[in-house]
Amino acid sequence: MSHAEPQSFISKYIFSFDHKVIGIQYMITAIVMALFGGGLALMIRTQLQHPEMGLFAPEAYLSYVTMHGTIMVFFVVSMAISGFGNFLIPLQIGARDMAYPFLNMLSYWTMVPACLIMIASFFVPGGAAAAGWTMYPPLSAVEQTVPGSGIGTTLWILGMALFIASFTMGGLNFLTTILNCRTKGLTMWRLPLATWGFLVATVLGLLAFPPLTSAAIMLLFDRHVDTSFFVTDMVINDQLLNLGDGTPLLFQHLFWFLGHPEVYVLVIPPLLMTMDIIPVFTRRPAFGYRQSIWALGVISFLSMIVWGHHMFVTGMNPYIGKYFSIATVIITAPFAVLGVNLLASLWRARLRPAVPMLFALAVISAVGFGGFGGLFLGTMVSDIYFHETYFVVGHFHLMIGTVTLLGIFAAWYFWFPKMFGKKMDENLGRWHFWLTALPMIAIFLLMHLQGMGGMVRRTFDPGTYEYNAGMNMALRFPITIMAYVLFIGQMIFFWNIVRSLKRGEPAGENPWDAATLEWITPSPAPHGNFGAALPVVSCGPYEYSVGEDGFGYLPQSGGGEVAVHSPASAEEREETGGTDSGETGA
Amino acid sequence: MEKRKPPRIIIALVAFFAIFTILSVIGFAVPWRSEVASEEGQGIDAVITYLLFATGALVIVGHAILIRFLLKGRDDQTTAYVRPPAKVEWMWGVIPVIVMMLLAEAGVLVVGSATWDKLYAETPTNPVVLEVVGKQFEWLIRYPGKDNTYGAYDFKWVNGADNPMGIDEDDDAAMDDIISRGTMYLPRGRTAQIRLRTHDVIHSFFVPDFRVKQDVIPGFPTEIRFTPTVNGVYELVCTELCGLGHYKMRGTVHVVDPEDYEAWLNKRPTFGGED
Amino acid sequence: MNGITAEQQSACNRTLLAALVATVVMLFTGFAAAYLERSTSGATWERIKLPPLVLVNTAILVASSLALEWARRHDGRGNKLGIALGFAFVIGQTAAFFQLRAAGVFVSSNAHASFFYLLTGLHAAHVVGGLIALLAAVRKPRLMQFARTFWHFMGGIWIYVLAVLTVL
Repeated sequence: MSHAEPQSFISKYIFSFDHKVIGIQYMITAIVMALFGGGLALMIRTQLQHPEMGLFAPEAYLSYVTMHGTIMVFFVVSMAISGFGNFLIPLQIGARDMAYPFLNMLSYWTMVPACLIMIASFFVPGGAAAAGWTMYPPLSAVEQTVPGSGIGTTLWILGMALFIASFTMGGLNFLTTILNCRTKGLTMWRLPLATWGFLVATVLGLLAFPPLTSAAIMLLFDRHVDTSFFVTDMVINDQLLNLGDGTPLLFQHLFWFLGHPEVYVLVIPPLLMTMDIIPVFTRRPAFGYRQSIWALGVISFLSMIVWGHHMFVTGMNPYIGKYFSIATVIITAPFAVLGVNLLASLWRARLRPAVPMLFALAVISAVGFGGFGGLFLGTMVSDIYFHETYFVVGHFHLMIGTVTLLGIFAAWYFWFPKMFGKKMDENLGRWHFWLTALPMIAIFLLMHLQGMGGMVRRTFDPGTYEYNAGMNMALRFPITIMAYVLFIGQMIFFWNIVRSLKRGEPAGENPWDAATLEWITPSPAPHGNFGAALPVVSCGPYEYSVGEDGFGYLPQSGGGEVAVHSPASAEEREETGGTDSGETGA
Repeated sequence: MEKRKPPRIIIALVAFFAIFTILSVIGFAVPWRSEVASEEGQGIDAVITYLLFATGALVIVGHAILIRFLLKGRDDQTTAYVRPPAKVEWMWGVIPVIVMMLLAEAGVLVVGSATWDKLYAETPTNPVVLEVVGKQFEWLIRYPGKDNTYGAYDFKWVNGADNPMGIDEDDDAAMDDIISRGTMYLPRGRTAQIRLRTHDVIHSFFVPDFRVKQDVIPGFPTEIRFTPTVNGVYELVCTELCGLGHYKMRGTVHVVDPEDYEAWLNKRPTFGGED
Repeated sequence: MNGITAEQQSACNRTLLAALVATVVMLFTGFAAAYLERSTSGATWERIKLPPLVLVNTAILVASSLALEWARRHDGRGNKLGIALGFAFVIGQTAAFFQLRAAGVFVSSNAHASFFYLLTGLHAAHVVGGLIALLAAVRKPRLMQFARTFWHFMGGIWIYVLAVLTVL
């Protein structure tokens, strides 16, 4: 639907219908929540580093662990992805806005109370939820089992309900817009990979979240109206509670039915944004575009039928366990296709090592290190040893922490000029890069080693166990140091944002010489995006290395006319050892 | 034609990737795991070792390619870039699928299958039968005694101080049951067949030295089997978040010669012998 | 215009509806899976007797769909009847809840009762959403086709819920 250009401050920046503003709102909120989630991480690390100092109580620690996970997964990574999706999709498909701008605004303003409720849950009696972000009943259902399973958990459930509602509204917008509002000439096979990533993740999320909603509702009922979907008779503190004859495992099935696709909802958009960014800085077409899309489809389908690999040791039928293992490890195949395509896109590249590209390259390495850890967990026999150890913590952080955040940072530096009209500072960007990529890979690789040593997760004081003494305990120190280094790196990032917004180098329309549609609009992109006439697409999104001398590129809406790369800046010439345009070699 | 050096930042990046790859290989080659002390654990270790080699090789190869492409990239200035034909793109789509399917399924179906069957499908011969209750925040162990029958239990009789397992005091079968708080003795070489249950929240039974693990779920008794092979004292760890005391829900498993096991059992007070 | 044609907008509405239907299907499938697990788990399982009012309500819901279909072929005459019957359904379901409570059957009475209240209540909540859509469509007739399709779909879900509660 159309909307006229907003005039008042409130309609421009608060209750905006404009996808670009909404996208930036999501991103800013994600940054705020990241400060909470990251702060919780630092408290966790500090407790683990010095359990003998008695800095935190066990109930506080467990609530930090629980809320760190919840906030980071849903209110940071997922929200950041929503931010980029909102900003990019209409621009990349040549539309003026999303299909339902009002619904879009509603989705953001449903998210805000969800965030507030999550934060508020720390300040109620009993504190925030403390049963782990996975919130398994009976621990999460029965108040007496752990502090935090009182009001804190009820608030958690309400916050999640609002989050899911917001995600659903946003997802419906993404889906309808991508499928139906593409500009003339933009077939699905000419869509940029970033938009493909949002499409696939949206479909997955829309199909996977509802069973979690059903589990959350049943948990709420068990907690407040005495049903027994998940709870059984129990004895707590010598008190017999007749709670019924429910099935705790049912919750796990429903939770992980969402939980597993959810990790792909988190990983796929940053990975695909990375694949979108790389061709711009190699000046080569993306390798295996169609194969990557087919691989995505296979990954998505498989991801919905393998949730049981989170439950190998629950005592389920071993034949079913074997099935889940066989199916799970198949996913490594399409993932390897994505990995190979990422690598092959670098073949004979004419590298421009700008900051977005540095992050993109680090994504490739991180996927290599982190992805293969999944094999140890997907293979049912080895999972017996690694389940609930730091191997799991290291693996999922490396994938949905490191890989996603490095991809999100690549996207941030890349599309920042389009969002705000300025470029982020390159030098500060490089500092941020090193102080992020290095710690984020090191920390979680080291946690894999702690997992090798059998160190169990969610443990308030790992020193209680003698087998942890030695290597497991010793590894805490470099991990904690790196965590603080990572924190410092993000301070540099925030400083760069503030500085660049105030006095950053103004960016032109297309500072990166990129071919996709968002780069033909002014920077920052204005209301309505494309001026009087919508673009018409005549080619794919990565037509680099074309033209007589092989040094031109085809903008998607350029009508087939070869564009030339702009002359390299003095910096770039110095860094890359020569000019970068129109040369025929020396 | 002048060969250009890659930009300094790329060299730094390459160094970063190379160093991390080398450190990872060294790191994962170090034997972090304790010496394995059960038969099934040996099978689990075999899968882990197989996967370390398989994934290690892939990480090394992948990073080698990444590094090579980054370093070689700028050399090719004179010839125009030739776009890989679709056939090549399909070939490089099929190859990784074949390689991964073989490597990955080999781990599941070839290396691991027998151990999975041993843990779940086969019936142990001459097992040592015992029951373990996980509760907030300790492990309770019960041996059925000479009559080889457990006394009945009900949650209504659970009393943390005197009768933490809730055993029926009027049941004759319970009289020779042997209860232990936190300490388990097992004879080396015989398969322990342990019934696991709880009367509160979910816990998980894990002995790192045996490598085996099994969740303990309210309303759903489970079973774990393993065959200790080395005498020693091992720690039993709760591996599913169960509340405030989760981190100190520790037990000990003593694996001893069969005679010493019998001796220990005979010296223990029975449930009926207690007040 | 927003730069998209009327055809594109219509296509968007169709996609939105299809996606919404898919998510609602997944929601009720999640519950059905839970129901199936519980009913076959071996724990005590006793079906409650559904109040006959529920069958009357079912007939009313079917009638409301029929009224909307009639209206489609007869220039919109019948839409208001369909909506009124929809309201009657929701009121009737609420009354059925009160009947059950009066008979001493509460949401926590047993597992089957829990599922009854849960599934019926959730369905009714979605029906309220459908009513809002229908009311909006009375004011914007080109939305009627979507509101009506969603309404029929909720009728289908109700049959599905009834089947789960009585047969599974």
